[in-house]
Amino acid sequence: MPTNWKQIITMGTLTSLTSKNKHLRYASVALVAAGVFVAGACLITQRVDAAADDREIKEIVMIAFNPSVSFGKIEHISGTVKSGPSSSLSDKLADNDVETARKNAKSTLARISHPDCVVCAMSAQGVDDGLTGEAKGFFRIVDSGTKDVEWQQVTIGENTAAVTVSATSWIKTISRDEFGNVNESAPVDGAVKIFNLTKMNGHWVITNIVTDQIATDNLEINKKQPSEAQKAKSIPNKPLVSPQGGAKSTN
Amino acid sequence: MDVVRSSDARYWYAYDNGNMWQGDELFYNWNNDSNPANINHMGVQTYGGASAYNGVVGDREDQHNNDRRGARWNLTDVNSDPFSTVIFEMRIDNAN
Repeated sequence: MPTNWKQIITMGTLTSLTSKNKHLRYASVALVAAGVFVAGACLITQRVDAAADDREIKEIVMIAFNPSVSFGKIEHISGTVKSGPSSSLSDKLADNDVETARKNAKSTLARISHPDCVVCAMSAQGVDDGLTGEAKGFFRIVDSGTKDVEWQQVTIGENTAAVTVSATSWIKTISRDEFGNVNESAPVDGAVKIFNLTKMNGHWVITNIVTDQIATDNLEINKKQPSEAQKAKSIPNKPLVSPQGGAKSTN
Repeated sequence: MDVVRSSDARYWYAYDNGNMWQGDELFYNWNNDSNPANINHMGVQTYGGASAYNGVVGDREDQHNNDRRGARWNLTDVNSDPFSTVIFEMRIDNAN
């Protein structure tokens, strides 16, 4: 117990100081906790942003990887034409299906391409040409897909990104030749492509696409040659005879 | 030099036309680029016969890629992206 006024005053001051320290300590702890919370929230937001960027970029790249695979299947739009292997070139494509396919391809390619991307513009022109060929009945892509996708390098910065990806594409086509024969083909091949992207108005767009030809040639899928049985079926250096009886020399 | 795209009937023909002969050169661009300066592959019509890949009879070409050997001249039996492929046909006249 205090015995004099001096002691009372001193104790009062100390008590007051201790109380202030506690408040300060609580405030400090609260500040640190808030800081940790904010930092954590930022980290989580950054991770979410990075994951969203990664997802968006990969989606865009796969759309642009093989335009024939992405935009070639017109008949799947309205379901009025049989799809799959039973499809026939005699099944006429509906005009509005072709138009829908064109519009879809145009808007999708515009969404994922930078306006200055020359390769993207050529690709869009190729898609339009291809759809014209299908509408005219020269050929039809009846099925297609991409498999064995390997993301060899994905570098994402704040506003630019670079992606190297290898994948195998396959399509099934029916086409009519000049003799009226309907031929089926099922080409499968791989490619290694390098995509450059930039962020524009909050979304990623492609600025350039380059095929790594050496890496592409070295893919196992591209080293496959016809089997001996397939080779045996081919008859080289014989005059070509059309089903209608017309002949064409090869030399 | 004649340019053929997937919107062209000839692209899907076995013979292309009666003027393709052994030794004719075929130049390809995989990026739908019709500028001859940007050609990135070349093949040669080596003979006529059935494709080793789908059996369709017509002009066949050979080129350095393993999977493009003995293929049809238009590569419709081996190429999974016809939309992006432009073919340039060229013939060197033996009178030259």
